[in-house]
Amino acid sequence: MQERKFKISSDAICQEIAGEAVILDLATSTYFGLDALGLRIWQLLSDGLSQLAVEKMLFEEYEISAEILSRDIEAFLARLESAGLVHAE
Amino acid sequence: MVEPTSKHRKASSDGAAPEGWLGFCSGLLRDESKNYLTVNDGSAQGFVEFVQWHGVECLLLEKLAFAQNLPEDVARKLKELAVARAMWELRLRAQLSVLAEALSLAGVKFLVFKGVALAYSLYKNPVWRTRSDTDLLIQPEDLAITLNALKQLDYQASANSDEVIFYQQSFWLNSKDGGAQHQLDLHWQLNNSEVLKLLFPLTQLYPRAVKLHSLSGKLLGVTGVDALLIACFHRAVHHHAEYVSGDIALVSGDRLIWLYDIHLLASAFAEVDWQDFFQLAKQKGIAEICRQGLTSSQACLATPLPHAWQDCLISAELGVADYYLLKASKWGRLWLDWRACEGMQKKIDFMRVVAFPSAPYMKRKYAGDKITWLPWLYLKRFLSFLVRRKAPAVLGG
Repeated sequence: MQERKFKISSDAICQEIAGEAVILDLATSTYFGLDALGLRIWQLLSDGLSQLAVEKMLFEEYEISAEILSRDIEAFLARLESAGLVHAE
Repeated sequence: MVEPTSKHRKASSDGAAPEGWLGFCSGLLRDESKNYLTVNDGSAQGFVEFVQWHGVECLLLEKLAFAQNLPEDVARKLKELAVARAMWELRLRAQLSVLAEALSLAGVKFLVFKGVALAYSLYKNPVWRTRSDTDLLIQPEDLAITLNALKQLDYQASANSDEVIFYQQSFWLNSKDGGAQHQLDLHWQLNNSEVLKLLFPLTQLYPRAVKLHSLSGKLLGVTGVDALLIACFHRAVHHHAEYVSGDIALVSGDRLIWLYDIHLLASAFAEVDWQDFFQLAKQKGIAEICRQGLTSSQACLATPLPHAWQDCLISAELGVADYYLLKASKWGRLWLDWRACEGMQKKIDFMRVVAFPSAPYMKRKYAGDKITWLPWLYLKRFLSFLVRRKAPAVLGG
């Protein structure tokens, strides 16, 4: 587990809809879609939680093994970072 | 419930009763619907169009999270529409922030009203309050500076300048940002009618306005009381003016999303708001318009209303606006507007604009027609004035 923190890009704006979300990156005019879990992670990052805190929180909310959850969150954050939607602090 | 105009088709294409659809949708909005709506393949698209005309596709989707009682293909289509709405909303939010900043810097006094103001003040999620444009109200003396600011932001006028100046309303489009079109409806009077245009002046609305923090710290919207007055008034206006969604045009004030606005606004009122509302409704001569709006909302959505509320809206005689929108005929309204025009030149301009609107307006108005020869379109417009249009049934009224 990692204690990294991520800051959401000021160019990324999020709109929730029907339990999922759409993100618009104003810098590139690109849209991204988030499913329910992705939206939950986005919300927790918006609240300023670290990667470790996000993992702990989701482990309590979902019935999933800690190992799979950690791997999925790591992969998800890597994708957000490569898309420029979040930056590691 | 409502009467489709001739150039547009009905929402129901296979005989499924729109009344049943209406009951199903209003039931869902009341969180009461337990029934399963049967929509066969032939009418699924019709149902989606019906829901879109009523502007409740996103709200229904939200309600469906708690009631899985729509066919899968309909639910999927509603979700596609909702996601598209969310994408549009994100662009709009960014564009409005830039616009608000520019107008503030230019020293313009402005506020937003109707859909966008309600979306960001009344609804938990702004996407649920579907809308096609943004209504912006400014002072007439700020028009030149506002138009200049819009041009600087690459907005383009979409109406003929004669109509713009006469009707004191102008439509602007901004599509530079990734192709998502944002239509701005710029008003320097809240209503086009000569009789009604001073009902809601910015000078009255602005001092009471509230900040729409969730949209932009620079954007103001009308208060809940003013919003309910405007919502009831707007509903009455659409008893005469059609609302177009896709290729469906209906003349009715009883779109579900407009009734839901009334329902949410009224539901949030405290006693002091009701007193303010009743007093202003009578002062403005729209007490009966408000009474009918609340009656429809209560009948359709079980809106909670204060004790003896109807007594508070009964006046000895109809106000001017009540008469204009509820009693006057088409010709009567023309006469009243003509009479309200100040000076002979204004009266002549009024007749010219009414009888011979600009060519771009006519082309837009009759865009779906096979024959687009201008003299024919003017003749068609004249003949349509002679035809008495059946009054739409009022939901629960």
